[in-house]
Amino acid sequence: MQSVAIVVIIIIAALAVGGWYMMQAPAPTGAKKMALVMPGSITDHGWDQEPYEGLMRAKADFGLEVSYTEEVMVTGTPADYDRIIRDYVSKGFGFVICHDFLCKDSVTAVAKDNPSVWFAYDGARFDPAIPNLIPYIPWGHEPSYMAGVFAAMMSKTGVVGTYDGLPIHIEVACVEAFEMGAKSVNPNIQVLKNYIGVWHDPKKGHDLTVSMVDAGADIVYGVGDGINIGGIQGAKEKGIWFIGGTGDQRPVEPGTVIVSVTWGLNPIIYTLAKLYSEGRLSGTAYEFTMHTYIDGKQVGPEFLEWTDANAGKVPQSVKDAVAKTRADIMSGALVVPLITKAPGT
Amino acid sequence: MVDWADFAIVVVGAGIGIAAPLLIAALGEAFAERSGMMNLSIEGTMSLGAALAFMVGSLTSNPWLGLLAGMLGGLVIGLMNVYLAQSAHLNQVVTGMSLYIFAYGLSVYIFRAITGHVSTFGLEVPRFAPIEIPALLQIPVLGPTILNQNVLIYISIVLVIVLEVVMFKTTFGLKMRAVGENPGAADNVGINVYTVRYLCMMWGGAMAGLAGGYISLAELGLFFEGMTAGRGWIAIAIVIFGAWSPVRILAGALIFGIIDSMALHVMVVAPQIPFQLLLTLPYVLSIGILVIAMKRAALPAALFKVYRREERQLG
Amino acid sequence: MALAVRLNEYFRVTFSVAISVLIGFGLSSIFIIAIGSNPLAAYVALLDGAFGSAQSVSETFIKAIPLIFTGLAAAIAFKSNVNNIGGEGQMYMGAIATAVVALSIPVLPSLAFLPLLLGISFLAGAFWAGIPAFLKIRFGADEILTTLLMNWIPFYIVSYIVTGPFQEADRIRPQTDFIPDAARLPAFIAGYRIHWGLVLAIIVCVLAYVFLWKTSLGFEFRATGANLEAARSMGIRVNRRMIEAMVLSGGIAALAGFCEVAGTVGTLKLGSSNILGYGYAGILVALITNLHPIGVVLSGLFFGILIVGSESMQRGADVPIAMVYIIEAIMVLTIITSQLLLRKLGLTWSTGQTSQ
Repeated sequence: MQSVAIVVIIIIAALAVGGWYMMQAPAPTGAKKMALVMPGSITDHGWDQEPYEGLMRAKADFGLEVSYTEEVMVTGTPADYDRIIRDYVSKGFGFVICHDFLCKDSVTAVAKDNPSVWFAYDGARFDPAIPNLIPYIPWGHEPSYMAGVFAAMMSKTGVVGTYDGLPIHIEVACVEAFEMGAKSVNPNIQVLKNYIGVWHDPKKGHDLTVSMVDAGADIVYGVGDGINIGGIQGAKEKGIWFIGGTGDQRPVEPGTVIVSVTWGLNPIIYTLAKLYSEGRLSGTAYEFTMHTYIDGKQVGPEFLEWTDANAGKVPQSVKDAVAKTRADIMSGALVVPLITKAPGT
Repeated sequence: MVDWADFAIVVVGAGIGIAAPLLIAALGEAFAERSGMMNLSIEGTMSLGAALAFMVGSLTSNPWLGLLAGMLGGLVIGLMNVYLAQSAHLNQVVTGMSLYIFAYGLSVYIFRAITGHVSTFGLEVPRFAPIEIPALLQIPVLGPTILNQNVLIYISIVLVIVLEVVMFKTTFGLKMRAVGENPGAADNVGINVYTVRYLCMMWGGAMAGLAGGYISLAELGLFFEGMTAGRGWIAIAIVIFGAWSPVRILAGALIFGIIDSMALHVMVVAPQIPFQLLLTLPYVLSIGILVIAMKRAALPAALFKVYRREERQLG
Repeated sequence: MALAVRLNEYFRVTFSVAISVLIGFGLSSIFIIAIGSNPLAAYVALLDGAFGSAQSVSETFIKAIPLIFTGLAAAIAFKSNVNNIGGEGQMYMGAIATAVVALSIPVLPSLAFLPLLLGISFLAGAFWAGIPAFLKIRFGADEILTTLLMNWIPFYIVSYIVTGPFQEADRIRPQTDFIPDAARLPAFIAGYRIHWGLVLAIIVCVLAYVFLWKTSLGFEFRATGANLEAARSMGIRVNRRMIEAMVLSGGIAALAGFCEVAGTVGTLKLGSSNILGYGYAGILVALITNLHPIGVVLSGLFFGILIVGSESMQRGADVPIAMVYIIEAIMVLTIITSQLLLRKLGLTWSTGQTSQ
């Protein structure tokens, strides 16, 4: 027993020395380091996958050194954001993005402690602004309104549906705008609106979509990621159209997802990375809508229209209506109300 | 707008779909628990089964091979569990929960390793579509909903009957129940406790893997991290709910599935009801039904206890 | 002389734990290598994440606090023959109670506020555990089933509260307002997040130890857990003891929620119950230390190190998140295997019974 103990102690000592050696900070490469912290999985086809893909594109295009941390809300709780963000700061990262509404207090605290590091987090502007903290929000109400117009015109049963996870602001904005868009076409249309409490359970999305079809809906707009994936399958089974949300979900089932609303998280993160790599970040608070332009390019939520393969299935009257709605929104003739609280709360 | 009879039929039809994977996993777990082993790794095993079934199913374009892969993966986890808990005499709760975490991690690991961090888009997998028997479909009302299910559900029903017979009418079933009640006494009359428990746990694991395969191949045709969404734990609850007998487990799974389905359907037609309330309904009602309708369920007496051959009382 | 024997025993125990940790690392390395990462870099990242700086150490302890509470809750329950796997839900009820009460009543001075919130959150958890306990005794409803099913409900209650009546004033995020400063557990060391909840956890564990081993009621709890029939024949009212153990367990689990809200975070946020949820992890924490209250402190710390460290591997060594699960599972299994070995050699880690 004693000799084994000695061997073990030697092994541990060797590992400790080796470890200390490895822990010495590597020589700075001069590359700018950017990090992305996400609550969910990068395979979720939505809230986390889109920014992740934007980050990877930025890495390729701008030569940034990047790192990401995912599933913070799956393996831990919002209390972990503080530790994770500080970890990145201590590792010399110059720009840390925390892609979750729940991390406001954590990011704010760390940003105040580290004025020379850039931070961005998903949330609304606040006063007084912190110079090195960039809040950003994707408001999807305008493309959702267009989706409502599209749905109302495509529906033959006069019943359309929409669902989301929880009634918090960006979700409510999309759901309510969808209803308004639908009613602008047909004031008597019935809009089924439901919240199912989670964003990542495909089966629930599937079952809810099927329930909506059972209740008469023939086109459903899902505002979520995991629940959309299941919802798309449900729509496919029942033979109805599905309108994607959060990101471009048309490639998921090209024959079912005829149009998609995207919040543009991919280009948003990509653009922030670009600004960082060029040293042009400022403490602006971004509220991304269809009217947001950075460097002359529109960045943010979009209504992605039917692909060429599906173009034949969309009547010309619908195409015209969508085009007119888009033109009115962009010109300012139509201002889509931004509703952030679910009615009745 | 809503015809109540139609509504009920639709709810039940969807409820059967919800119940299916719960039933399959519970049928496996019932045997494991009857032999005295609590298998807490079901949730992770289901996820592993889902991942393996999807991968193999899409690579071979054969859903049956996919299911088989899922079952094998589950069987291995069950084997690990019974080895650690029975042969190595470790605490069943620890082994079960550790393997739950391990199997779940493995499912994510495998999924990402094969798809390279992307997704299952572009991976075609043949699915278990509902079987449409024209004659049955003609039956008004029942046809298009309840009798329009996929082949695995029909197989599961048959399985329930078969397993009920096995559990209560065969020698093996008798041996298994004896081992679960008093392994020492069973050992004394010559029953090989280890063999029985190994078989039961491997079966339990395989069924959990099959349930996972059902979820990825029959329910949705995709793999998504966390898609099991706690259903493995519900299966454990259903086993107890069904007092460890297959027919009653079927009833339990159906009750749970139908209530869940009802919550989702009611949600659509009555959005003024707080949705959180409806979502807790399956859990609350299941507890209520358990309490009111079930007699004091007798756990297999040896459940949770570590069985050591050398400690048994002889004679 | 007795001291020397004791020290020798502790040395052997520590030594065997060290060996099993090494073996655990070794087994996990297989998976790390298979995806092309460097295991040595991974473990360095793990240790760095858990201990690399004063900040890290503070965070590791913070992670340990709820684990110690839920671990103690599980230990007390299992030791008394009650299978309480509802720690997750009971913890949430404690968090809910803390936030709701702190935001609803007029602000009191800390000395009054904190004990009040502590007491109310304890009662919330005790109540939540009391329901399954009552159902078991009155209707024979198996507590594994009831506590498990009841774990889902608080998640929806939280969901309702943080998007409805108690949502923050801005009505933006799914979280409540920050609770008043007087209701916050003060920090230990200025500049770090570690707070007095850690001391509270240790104190409660010591109290639990004293209760279980130095009081007659505690003896009855342990007797009920060791051998139900023998205890009954000794005249112990086992049914009552089991209810009491369950209720006590629930209350202690709720304190995990209290510390998270009043100490670490300051609000109640939407945070889904997840795989590595503190309630479920607490069961493992208790079991790898053989349900010993003092052992739970060390075990909770160990889990804190493991979780914080392995999560840091994503940043320090490009190791994917799936490894967190795999490493945790392997570590737990190798550690309890080492315990088994110890027991065969005649050494035990706890002074009490071994787990069932």
